Amino acid sequence: MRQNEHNVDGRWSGPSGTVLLEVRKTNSARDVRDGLVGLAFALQDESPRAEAVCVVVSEKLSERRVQQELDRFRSIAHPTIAPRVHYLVSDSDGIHGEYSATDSFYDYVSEVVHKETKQGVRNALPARQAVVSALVTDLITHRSAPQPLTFWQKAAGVSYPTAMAAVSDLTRKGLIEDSPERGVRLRPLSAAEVLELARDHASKRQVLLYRDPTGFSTSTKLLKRFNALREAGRIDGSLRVGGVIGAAHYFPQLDITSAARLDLSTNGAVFDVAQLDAALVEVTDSEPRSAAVLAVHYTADVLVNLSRAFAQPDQWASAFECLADLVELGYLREAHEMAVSMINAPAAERPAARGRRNLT
Amino acid sequence: MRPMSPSKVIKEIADALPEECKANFIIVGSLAAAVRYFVADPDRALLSKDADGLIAPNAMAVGAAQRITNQLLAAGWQIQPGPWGQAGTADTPEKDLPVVRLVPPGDRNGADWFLELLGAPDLTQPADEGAKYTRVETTAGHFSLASFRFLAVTEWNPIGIDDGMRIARPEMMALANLLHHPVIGPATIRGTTDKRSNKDLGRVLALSWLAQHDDTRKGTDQFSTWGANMAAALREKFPEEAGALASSAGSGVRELLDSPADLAQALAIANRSLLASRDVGVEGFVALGRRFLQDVIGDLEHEFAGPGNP
Repeated sequence: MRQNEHNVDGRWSGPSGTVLLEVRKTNSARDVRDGLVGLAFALQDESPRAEAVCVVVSEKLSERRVQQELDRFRSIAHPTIAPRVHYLVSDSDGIHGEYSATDSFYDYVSEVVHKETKQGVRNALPARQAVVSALVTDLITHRSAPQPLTFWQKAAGVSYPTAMAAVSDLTRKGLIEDSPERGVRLRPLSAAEVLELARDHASKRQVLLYRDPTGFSTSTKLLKRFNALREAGRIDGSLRVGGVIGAAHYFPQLDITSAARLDLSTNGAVFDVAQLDAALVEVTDSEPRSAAVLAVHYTADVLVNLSRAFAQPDQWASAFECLADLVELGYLREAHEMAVSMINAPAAERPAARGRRNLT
Repeated sequence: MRPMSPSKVIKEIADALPEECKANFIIVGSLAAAVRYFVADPDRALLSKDADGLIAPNAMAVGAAQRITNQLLAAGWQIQPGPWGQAGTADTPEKDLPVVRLVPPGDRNGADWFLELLGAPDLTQPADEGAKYTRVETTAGHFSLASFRFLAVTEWNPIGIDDGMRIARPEMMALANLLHHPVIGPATIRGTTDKRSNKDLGRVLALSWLAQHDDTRKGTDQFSTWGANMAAALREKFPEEAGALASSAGSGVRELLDSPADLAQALAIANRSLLASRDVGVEGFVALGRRFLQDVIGDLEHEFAGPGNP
């Protein structure tokens, strides 16, 4: 597998070879220039056949102005690189510009532009559910002291009114601790209550499932590839390992001998599944979900913020996401055992306190 | 065409070869793939008629081919009958000489395979991707030894097997096919409407299927080494043009994946030979191709990426 230190927004593998994509949502010609130069650096580590396209999303920059920037760039760039760097403009007229390719390439560009301009959020978890996720994650891994509502607001990445509404919902359900202390946290919950929240969480996430038509891909191989990409800095940092593998991190006694699929959680950041395995195809509604070797859950990355507070290892999906994965996979007994173990563990023995454990 | 048992064929060849020539002999083609991947499955036979033996290095190829042919003829092997079944003479132009195709003695229960000798290419000569023919004088008359430029990569680190025999590495056979077919050409296999490119590029993907199947069965990860091995072979065999060859190595497979008709033909041919009874469908074959391009060609191209690489 190739390794490339340059992070680009997209990588297209088509009949003519690799095309790198960089999306710039900007009204500044300087940003466009930076994008072109960045792509030139990235191309140095690619095949001599590879090309690169800077996709400019702008309300003010005209195509002519972008063309001028490209011309200036090409006049000073190395001749082996200059002609391989191109631009496209994405605006109300669609995608157009100096680079031409197949329809499927433009579809891919549209997808990348959509994801990038939506600030990396793809069908994000309902905002209130993100607050629930933060609260349950804290309950089963840290059990911190009651925190101000603004803490949960930031952890969930939502607005203050949304955080307040979510806590009000939970209060009505009797799940918030009635405490004289200033601050909010969940009351101690039973394993059944945690599982019910996990089931509800699973139903509110979007999950994309992928199968391997060749039959050779396994969760172990995908995890190995994921680790290599992660170490090379070629995969978004918000992607985390959950599912059976993640659950085993939090609950080593988990009674499941092997993971039928790799579960990844993401906050919706751009993620090209082909990076993991170009053979994978999405499981359609008419196909059995059990055919999946990879599941990508689009959820709220509450650990990004909780990590700052609790130094949570950053390669794992939260314990709550892992529980939701187990429930979704049908491992109800195992999920119950995990929930029991986590809510009963003394704080000092909880995974967050045990420190970092490397992915295998 | 009758199925042949790879291990029996190899044993028969090994018993017949002059001991001193085994170091110059590398089994290539479908028999090599079958020996590499079918041996753990003795019931799996190979649907093929030819057992190809590459004689290397080039400097020793004619002499070794002569000794091998003479010894096999003396042991009762026969020139394969047919339109090219007559040896030439000193007056026959090299291009008109038959290649060495030898049929083992005995009825062998009706098996109809033959051994064909190929020569390692002379890489000191100007690049020419077509076949080259070199005269070989034997006790039965004059023959030619065919050599193909890109077959040189199959000389790279062959795998030793029983009885002092060696087989070409699967990834090197795949690389030879990739280099030989940077595009899908119109040439067809004699007597059929099948394109030669489709057969050879389809074989690349068939080999990749077998490699991954083998890895899965054994818990190994040999397939992940293909790209780096290909790069090493290119650097050794074609040091001046390795980078250029690497950058075009994937173009044939890319074209195949973009052409449904050619892809279907490539799969049909593969399913009649190396992938027989494996139930590989179009979707799986396309997925194999995507993975091959990303994992193997991606690694190969990356080996030559960046300034200063040939």
